Amino acid sequence: MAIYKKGPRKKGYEFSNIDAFDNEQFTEAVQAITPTGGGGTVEVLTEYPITDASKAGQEFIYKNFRWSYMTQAEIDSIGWTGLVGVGFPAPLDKTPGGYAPNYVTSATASSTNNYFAVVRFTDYSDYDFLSYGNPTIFRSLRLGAAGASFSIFRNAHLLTGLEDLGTTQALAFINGPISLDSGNVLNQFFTDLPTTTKTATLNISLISDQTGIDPTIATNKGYIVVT
Amino acid sequence: MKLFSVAIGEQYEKEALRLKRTVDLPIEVFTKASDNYVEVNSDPLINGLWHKCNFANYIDNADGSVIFMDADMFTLMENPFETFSVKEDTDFAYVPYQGKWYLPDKIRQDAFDFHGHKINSGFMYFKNLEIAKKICDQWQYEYLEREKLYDIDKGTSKYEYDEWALMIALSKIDLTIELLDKKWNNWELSTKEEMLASESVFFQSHDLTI
Repeated sequence: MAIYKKGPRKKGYEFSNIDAFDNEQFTEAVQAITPTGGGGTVEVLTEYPITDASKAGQEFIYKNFRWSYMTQAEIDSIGWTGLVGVGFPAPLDKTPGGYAPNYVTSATASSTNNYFAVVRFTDYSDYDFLSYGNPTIFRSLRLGAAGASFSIFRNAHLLTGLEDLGTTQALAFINGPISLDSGNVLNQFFTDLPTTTKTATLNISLISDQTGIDPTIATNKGYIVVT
Repeated sequence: MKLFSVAIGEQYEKEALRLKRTVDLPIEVFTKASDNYVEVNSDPLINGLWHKCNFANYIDNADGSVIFMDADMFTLMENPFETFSVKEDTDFAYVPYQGKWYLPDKIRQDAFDFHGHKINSGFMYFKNLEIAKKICDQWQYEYLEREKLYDIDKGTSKYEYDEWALMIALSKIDLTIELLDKKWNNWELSTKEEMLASESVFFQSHDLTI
């Protein structure tokens, strides 16, 4: 069913999630969309999208942002060849410079290679590394906020650039205590990480309850873990 | 007490000037312009770190103890060594990192398990020059052994820095060791505001605007 709750109908668009239109940010987001190739239907998803090669090139809305199922050309253009398959869903800003996942970083990120967590379209419980933008560019990440609790980390396989820089560790939880739904949340994160030959330290010492966490999952992939 | 630092490269030399200015005590700094300087590796990071590992061998004379400080250290305190002391029988002292460390390889895991902590090499006390040279002789050897494992073309990291080599070296030398309070090198503080609010004596930062 087509729903157009606010503003003039935009030619060629059809949205299907009435609840999302109660969100002002969502309304602004979808009204700003310029259709790629013109016309068609932009699907609104309420569940986290999964890779679907049959939809490569199609766009959709998830959590107020525009996403796309990536084509092979798009994957190759940002250096994700071999990291994701055709139809991998990624949040996008299509910029004049090319295909760039939507991201927010600290002002000094480019000069220091220290990229700090800014959550833009996920909450802390459902934590997506794509919310930083292109995760492969990040060498150093700081995760957390006072009272943060995590139930899942998504797309950790894209963190291919993690590396210690002096005493700055590759990834650290900050502003603890941080809580997890269970130790398996972090074990799955370790499992999803790419193997590394770099010196990359994962500091999880501020996670309050480390019951069930198995650091050897990460060390077997080449990481150093500090508990 | 002999104060010493190593600054190989323009940025480190600038940082060493800040160290000398803020400490306001005589500090000898080893640079590329020093008589004993030789380039041991074409990679600037490896070359600089090896000279740090070998620093005591650049000291001709020291009256009493030796303190090594990384070039990017500095203090915001007048008379920073006013309260510094170690036990009489301490040969070597440093600030440890916190936490239990799990390593991907046996040699570093064995070194961690031997000490029970990771060693920070930014600020170190040596009872005398003889002990400093004994440590450095082993430290520079172990660093070169670690360097053989680096394969930069394949992405194998050169960024493990010098501290694991030091830990491996110290596991082979019989010394009386003392752990220092973190106030002697609070390397985790990164902003001027954090440092001003801290009671720590020394900090580390490559940011010269601090």
